[in-house]
Amino acid sequence: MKGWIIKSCLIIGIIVLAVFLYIIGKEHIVFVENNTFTIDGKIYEPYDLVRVTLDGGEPVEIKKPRGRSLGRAKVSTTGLNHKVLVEILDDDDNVIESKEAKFKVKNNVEELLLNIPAMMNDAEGWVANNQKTIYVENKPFTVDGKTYEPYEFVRVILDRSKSLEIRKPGDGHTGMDKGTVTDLRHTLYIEIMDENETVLESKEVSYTVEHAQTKLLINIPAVMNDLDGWLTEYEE
Amino acid sequence: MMEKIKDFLEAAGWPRLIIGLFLLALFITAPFVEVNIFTSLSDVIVRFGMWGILVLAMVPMVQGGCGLNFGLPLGIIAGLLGAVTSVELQLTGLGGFFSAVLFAIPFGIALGLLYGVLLNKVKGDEMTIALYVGFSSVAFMSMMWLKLPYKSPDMIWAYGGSGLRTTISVEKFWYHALNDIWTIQIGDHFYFPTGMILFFAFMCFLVWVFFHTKTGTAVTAAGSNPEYARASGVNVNKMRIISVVLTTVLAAVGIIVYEQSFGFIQLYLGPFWMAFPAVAGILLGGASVHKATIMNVIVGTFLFQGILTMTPSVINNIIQTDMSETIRIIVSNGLILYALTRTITIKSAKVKA
Amino acid sequence: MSTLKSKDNNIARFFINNAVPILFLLFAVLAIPMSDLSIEYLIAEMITRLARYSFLVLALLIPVIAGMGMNFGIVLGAMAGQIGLIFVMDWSIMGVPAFFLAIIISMPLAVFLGWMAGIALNHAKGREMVTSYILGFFINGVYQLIVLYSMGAIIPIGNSQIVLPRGYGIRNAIDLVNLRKSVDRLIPLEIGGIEIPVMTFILVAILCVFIVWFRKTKLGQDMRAVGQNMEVARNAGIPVERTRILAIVISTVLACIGQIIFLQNIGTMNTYNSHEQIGMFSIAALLVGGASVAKASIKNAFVGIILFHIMFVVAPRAGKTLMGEAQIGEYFRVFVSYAIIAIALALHAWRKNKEAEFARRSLRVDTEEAPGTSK
Repeated sequence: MKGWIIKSCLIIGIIVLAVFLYIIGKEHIVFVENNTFTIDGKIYEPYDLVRVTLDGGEPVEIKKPRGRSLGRAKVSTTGLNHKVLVEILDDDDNVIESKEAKFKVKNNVEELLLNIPAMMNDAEGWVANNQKTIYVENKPFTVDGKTYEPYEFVRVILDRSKSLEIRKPGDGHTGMDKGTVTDLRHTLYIEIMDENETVLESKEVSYTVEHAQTKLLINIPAVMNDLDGWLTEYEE
Repeated sequence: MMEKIKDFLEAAGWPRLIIGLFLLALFITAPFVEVNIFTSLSDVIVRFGMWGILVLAMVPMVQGGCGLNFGLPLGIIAGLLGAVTSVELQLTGLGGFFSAVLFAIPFGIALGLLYGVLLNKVKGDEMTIALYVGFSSVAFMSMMWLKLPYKSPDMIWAYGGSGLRTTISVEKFWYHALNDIWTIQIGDHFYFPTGMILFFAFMCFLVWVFFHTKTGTAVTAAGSNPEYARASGVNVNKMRIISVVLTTVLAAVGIIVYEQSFGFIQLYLGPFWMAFPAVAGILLGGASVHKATIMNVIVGTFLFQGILTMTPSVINNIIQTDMSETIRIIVSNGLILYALTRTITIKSAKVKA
Repeated sequence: MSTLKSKDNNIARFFINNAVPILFLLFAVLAIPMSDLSIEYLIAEMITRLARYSFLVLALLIPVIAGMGMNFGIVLGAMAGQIGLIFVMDWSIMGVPAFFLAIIISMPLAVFLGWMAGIALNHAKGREMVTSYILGFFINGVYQLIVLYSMGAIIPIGNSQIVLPRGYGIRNAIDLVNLRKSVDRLIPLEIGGIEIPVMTFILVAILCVFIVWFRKTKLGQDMRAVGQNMEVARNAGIPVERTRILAIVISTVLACIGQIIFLQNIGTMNTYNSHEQIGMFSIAALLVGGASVAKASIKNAFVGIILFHIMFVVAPRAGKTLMGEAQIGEYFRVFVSYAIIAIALALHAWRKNKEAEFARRSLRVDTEEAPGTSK
């Protein structure tokens, strides 16, 4: 009896250890960006030159975005609790301003986006999951009293890589599907098809997601008819 | 009648029956998965002919008490030397084939003698040592193939000028020398290499005759009960050496038969793994580490090569993926494993094989 | 007079018992100058190789104690470890946590494989070495079934970087960037420009302490008894079959850890090849160190690794200097690796036969010398 208890405790202990190792060892990639941040109508501008140190690692310097350069750097770290030190530098590499902040990561998040202007101004969502879930629905859309009907069969391609096929709701079909994308700028390619999979109509749109938004909803009839509100935040 | 069937089933043994039925099942499934039965049957028969003598080579050593010959590569090397010499002398056709055999025999005898003397010193651990003697000799010859004084442009590296190539084609020389004798070809798919099968049968006959001579019986006696044989005046060590030489020479002949069907002489690391299908073949046929008969050779080689040929082609077509290499690894090693871990049940007592 | 003779005998016996390591030492002395390699280079290489291979070679010791010969089944442990590493790479775990996590998740698989191997070997008493050799190949086929065909298809793999372009199956070469040298460099130390993997050696030292302690435990003593004589051990009440299985399980688990240590040192995993030669290299090294099928010690492991790997590193260069072709040196390397195992096995078997013959003869002498004893 005692042996059995000891063995069970040992096994549980090892499992706990394994979970612990998994959490502190899992890599999270943080894209640190020195870019414009908009929230609730407020706009925060990027700085000329910043130096960022994540969790006491190698400091990385990021200039303001210009032309092709994105004003971004990729840093990787492990574990759940993080500390970031931001130093604003002038032309002579002197520190004008500096600020430190802490943030936590949920274990299954693989990529984060950390925005410097937002962080310096304590804006909400200054660090967020860089992976966004896009819900695409092929359901009726009503605006101004008019209702736009869903299509028989649409194929949607997110960011030219992930393909979703959605039938109109009914007969066991939900009329909705979802996919994950990373980062803020995206494209959507829609093909309206009939039962024989011939393409009747097609359209491509680009859209930008705000930093703090992690789940979004796109309505197909609204997109196809160029209506406002085709892209909204997804609420469960 | 029932008695006779029962006796046959007992003699065959359940494992062989199961594997035989499995092979039959594969043949029956074949047409349903778009595998041509006649092509498959021909493939199996050709492979049977190619490996037959190599498996037959196992018999003398097992009967002589030296265990399974994992050192088969040693005999194969003798055969390679014979084959390469024949090609060097530009000999073709049936004559070329037989000359290769003729050249191989003295090498086989010489290597067999050395091998036999070694095995006599390590009684009880022959198999593991044989394994490594086989490996080391292949590696050793790999060094030699680079330096031996063969000059034929068909065999030498094209631009370098010295050293034999890894694979040497025998197409211009004695390719299919045996296979093409009295071939039976039915339609597009069925092909029976009569010459090769006849030659195999002839070799089996020679081995059978040998074991019925006075020397042959002495070899069997030395293998089954060395103490008793010694007491009866048999020179056990000498008989063991004879069995090893015979095995090595048979292996040398066997590889030449293999090559004339396959079309290529494979040097360097070619022979490295060749002991295993031969061991698997004879074990599958019902032989044990101490006893092997010619029937074991025939049944075992056919079953083994059959399964090895049919399983990948049928399974590949069922799951629409090419898994042949992996399946081959699992099947052939699984069979050897199975045979190595068997216990023989004699009705009254359990004895380790 | 007799003392002089026994001293000669002792020297002679020393040379016979240690024939193999002495041969290799001779080879090293002759070949090193021929190879044009500097001593500093060799020392650095040997330190690296000791860190890399010690754990694996030490994993071979326990089955020898139990009389099961050289356990080629350590390949099974290596495969388990590699599967663990594949998952850790898939989950993007980094550094030392990745190392220990890989060990923890491959452990159950290693135990299972070791248990199966133990059962198989119990059915092949007297031919353990050949059986474990074939078992290695068989399980390699199953491993391919899992890693080359099921992973990415039936077993979900999220990290597409390690998957083959066709969509399923793991790539052949995986850069273990996550944990490359993570254990080696945990405690950094550099002497004369050579990096010393301190933590790795600490792990090896812990294993050595474990082995020494294990020999003294009841299980260890049981294994020695089983190794010396199965029937006597059985009569003494020792569960022979279970003890043998345990010996293989422990060996497989240690090999699993050893392979993960090995791979984190090298930094790249050849998914389908890294484990294949492990059995042969480790056993060759142990035998070169003077071990035999019946007796192997920690000293044999370390001496063997150094001597074997000196040969390994030096042979191709020496071959080039001697015969003008590096290719000959490479084949020479393969030849020596296998020949050494053959020689060591043969010497052991020959000695065993000689001792049996000697015992038989002395028995005969006894009965002759005792008149009146009934025949």
